[in-house]
Amino acid sequence: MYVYLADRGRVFSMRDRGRRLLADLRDEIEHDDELVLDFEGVISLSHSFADEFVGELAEQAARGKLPHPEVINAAAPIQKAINRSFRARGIADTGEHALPA
Amino acid sequence: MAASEQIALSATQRSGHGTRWGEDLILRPPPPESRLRLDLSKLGFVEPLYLLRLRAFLDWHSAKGTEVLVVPPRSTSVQAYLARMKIAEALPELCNFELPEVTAHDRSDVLLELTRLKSLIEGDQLDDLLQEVVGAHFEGDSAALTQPFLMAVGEMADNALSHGRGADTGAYVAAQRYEKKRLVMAIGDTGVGIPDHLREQFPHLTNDGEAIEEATKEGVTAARNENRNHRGMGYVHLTEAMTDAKMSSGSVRIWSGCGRYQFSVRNGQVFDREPSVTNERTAGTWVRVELSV
Repeated sequence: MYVYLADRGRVFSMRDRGRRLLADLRDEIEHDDELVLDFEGVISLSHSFADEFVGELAEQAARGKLPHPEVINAAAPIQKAINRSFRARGIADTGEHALPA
Repeated sequence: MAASEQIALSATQRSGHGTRWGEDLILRPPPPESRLRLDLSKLGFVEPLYLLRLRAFLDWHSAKGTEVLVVPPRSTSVQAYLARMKIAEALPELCNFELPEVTAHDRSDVLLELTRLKSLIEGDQLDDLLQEVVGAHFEGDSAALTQPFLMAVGEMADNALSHGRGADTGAYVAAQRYEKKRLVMAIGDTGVGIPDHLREQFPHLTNDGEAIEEATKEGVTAARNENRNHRGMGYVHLTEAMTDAKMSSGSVRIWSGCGRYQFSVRNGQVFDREPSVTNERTAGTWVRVELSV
């Protein structure tokens, strides 16, 4: 499944928005073996949104419930927010902007 | 409502200045059956934080059933600012605040008009507004302010809406640009406030200023969440965005309960961390962020 975030906006701030987006997409994601999150065109992602959407996706993937999200075309601040969420949840960093150990 | 007592409050010329905290706009119930008269006639300058506090003052007291009469500012520039920042839109019925007609509305310096958030869906609408703001204002030298601006508004608004939407007034946001290279934003709510919120988990934090300082540290409020899902990191991320950005300076000021906390950022470093305690207690949490290139 391919999710182009910019189709839904270019600024994502609210934690609850991340929660609702995950709920909206969950049924489709569950029935697919792959998941790509394309952040091209996204200007900003708060850490709260990143944690509630991407972080939660990754944690559920780690438990085998969903496919692991592959993050592409994320600007450095966005990748950093995602990696910070992964780190807090005990998931390995991804992308070229991985946080230092 | 029969008014048995009129309580007068007055703003000074400097009340709305950035160095002030809007202390004269008291969010505390007046005696029963009294009404409030807020005299803004001497107000000489208004910044986003005072703007938010002013509107919250009107909404909060009106929600408690108190009539509020506002004497408008005499200064035409202050009148114009209040008008273009939409202070008097959709005022509650118990509030009487008439601004004189202002013909000149130069809006080039307005980043975000006074925006009130009462629901999570309105939080999504804030994202749409922020997107427009970035498209219209952040180019050239100002581009360096994009990420810290969005992070500040986004994280702080998320906090404010989470804590403030159950309150009488919700959350408020406004942002203003000065001389193209300096911007000031304010975010506030009349919810539970940081110190009382933290004391649910950390009862030893009896000093409100130090409690706010603790909230800016990684992992403090996250610890209270059984799911350990990364909550309570808003101030940490804001600080990081400011230190990461290629901007010349910035500052953050937070007022909640009786506590105040402020710090500065210069060339990627945090300075002048200063917790303090004031005699004037406020409802909720009020944050002012300044960024400069």
